Amino acid sequence: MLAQIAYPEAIEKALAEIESLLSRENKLSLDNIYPISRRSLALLVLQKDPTLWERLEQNDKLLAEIEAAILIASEQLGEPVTAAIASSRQQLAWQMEQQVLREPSEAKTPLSETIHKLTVNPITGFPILVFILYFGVYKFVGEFGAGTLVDTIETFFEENINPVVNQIVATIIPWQPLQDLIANDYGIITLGIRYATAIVLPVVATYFLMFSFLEDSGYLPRLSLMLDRLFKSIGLSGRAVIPMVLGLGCDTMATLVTRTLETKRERLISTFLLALAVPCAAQWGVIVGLLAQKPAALLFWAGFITVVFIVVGYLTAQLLPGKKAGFYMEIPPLRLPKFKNILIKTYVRMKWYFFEIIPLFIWASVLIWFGRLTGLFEQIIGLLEPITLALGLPEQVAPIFLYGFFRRDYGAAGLFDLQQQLALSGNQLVVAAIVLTLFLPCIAQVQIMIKEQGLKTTLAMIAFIIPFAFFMGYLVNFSLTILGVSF
Amino acid sequence: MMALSSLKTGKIDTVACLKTSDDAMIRKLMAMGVLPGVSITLEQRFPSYIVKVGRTRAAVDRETAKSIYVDGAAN
Repeated sequence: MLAQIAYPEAIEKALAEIESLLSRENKLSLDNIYPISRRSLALLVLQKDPTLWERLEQNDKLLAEIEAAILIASEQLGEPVTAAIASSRQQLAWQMEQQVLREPSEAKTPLSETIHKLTVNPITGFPILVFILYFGVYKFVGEFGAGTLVDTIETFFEENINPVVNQIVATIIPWQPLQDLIANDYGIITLGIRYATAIVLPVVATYFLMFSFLEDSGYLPRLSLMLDRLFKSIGLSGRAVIPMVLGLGCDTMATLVTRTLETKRERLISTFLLALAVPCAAQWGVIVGLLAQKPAALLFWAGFITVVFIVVGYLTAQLLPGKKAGFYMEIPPLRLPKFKNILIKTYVRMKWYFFEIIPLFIWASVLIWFGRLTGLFEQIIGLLEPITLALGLPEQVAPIFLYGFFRRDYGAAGLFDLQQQLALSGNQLVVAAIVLTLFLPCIAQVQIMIKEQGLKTTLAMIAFIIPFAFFMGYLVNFSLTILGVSF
Repeated sequence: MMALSSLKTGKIDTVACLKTSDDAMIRKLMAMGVLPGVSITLEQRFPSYIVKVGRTRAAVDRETAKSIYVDGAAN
């Protein structure tokens, strides 16, 4: 049996006091609810354990007496009671450690230590960071996952599955609107399921594979510490780096992950920035492909979105009241990840994600079906057309903005088709790409935003995002025309 | 006594106290093993402060580094 920790006298006195106070109050019946020794119970009360505290608040008199005891103890100690308790425990832990641990003196620095130094040193660390993001996110997830894999599976669907489904549905269901619900351009199977498996699955699989690798290697906390200062300027801490990087894979998933951030303020800012200025892999994959022939246009688009991200983040941080997020994070040693663990993690995450997201895509299909059937979409598109023209874009771009809401990349993909038919100019492509990137997040993301931030906040964000996206498009088109720049 | 943020990198010192009114920060630092009496080494200060406490390594921002006080014996 372990020796009981001897705390400083002031604490022992307070403990005895609380113990006797607790034993007097049988009505609270804490003993029955928490089958631990009275001393342990008193220790928890002394440290203001939230659950116990809530229970004690039923008895004002008792609470006042306990608070007085805590106050006396901390005055005698000259430091918070919790700090004193933690110190005493730490002392005992050290004593035990010294008795049982023998440390061989380390003659040379281990390799992992050298790599750690390289990853956190500003001179070598930032190039390493760019290298990892370029190959891990851009090349592997963007080009391989959102490009090659998506194309392959999408083609397979369009050539082998969709025609079969369309044919079967056409034979067994006589009514056109019902056929459209399941098959054809926007059906549950031909759009919803196809989208979930052909676009989301490869992006998410490659993304989780890369993310699990970085996570298991211990690099993520280092990424956070390298970017903490930069993120502070937009009201976030290094902790928010992880959801932001995740957003480049899938914003819906990233919005869910903002839950891990410490303050409400930080969660709000990051959710907003994810919705406004972080394009997901499906989206930027198509935009990069679209602008690939015009490197200057691609650079302009990327630069513009980055500036929007930083400026809007900075302004939001200035305007939003509340405590600024602090940053403190443990840095685990770097390790070589185990391949099997990465695979298991990726599999579990994909499974969770897939079942969480598939229903949302089915909903999107149903909504599109409903919107088209009732003529609601035509009305919205009619409203969007003059705006599109004001941006210097042909009116055929209007539906793309609307459908972009239902599948974030659809807008971009639709733009790709239009480009083939209409041969849009470089400037038009840049303006459309900017508006699409800033424009509403996809419907799945909005659903998660409502779940995490509530309906009111989500609506407020959307009310800002829609006009802002069009205004930025207008501004870019106007400036490019005035300055005589053409990409 | 001086703030950790003004300690020289590579020097070993002892944590004297945590001066902050932010309870969450105190709890987090204590959980990471940053407690009075512990020896602490400041490894670097940019882009974040990195400290080594016992066998634990932690990154903290400037505000947090300012609220950790060390004895200042090493200077």
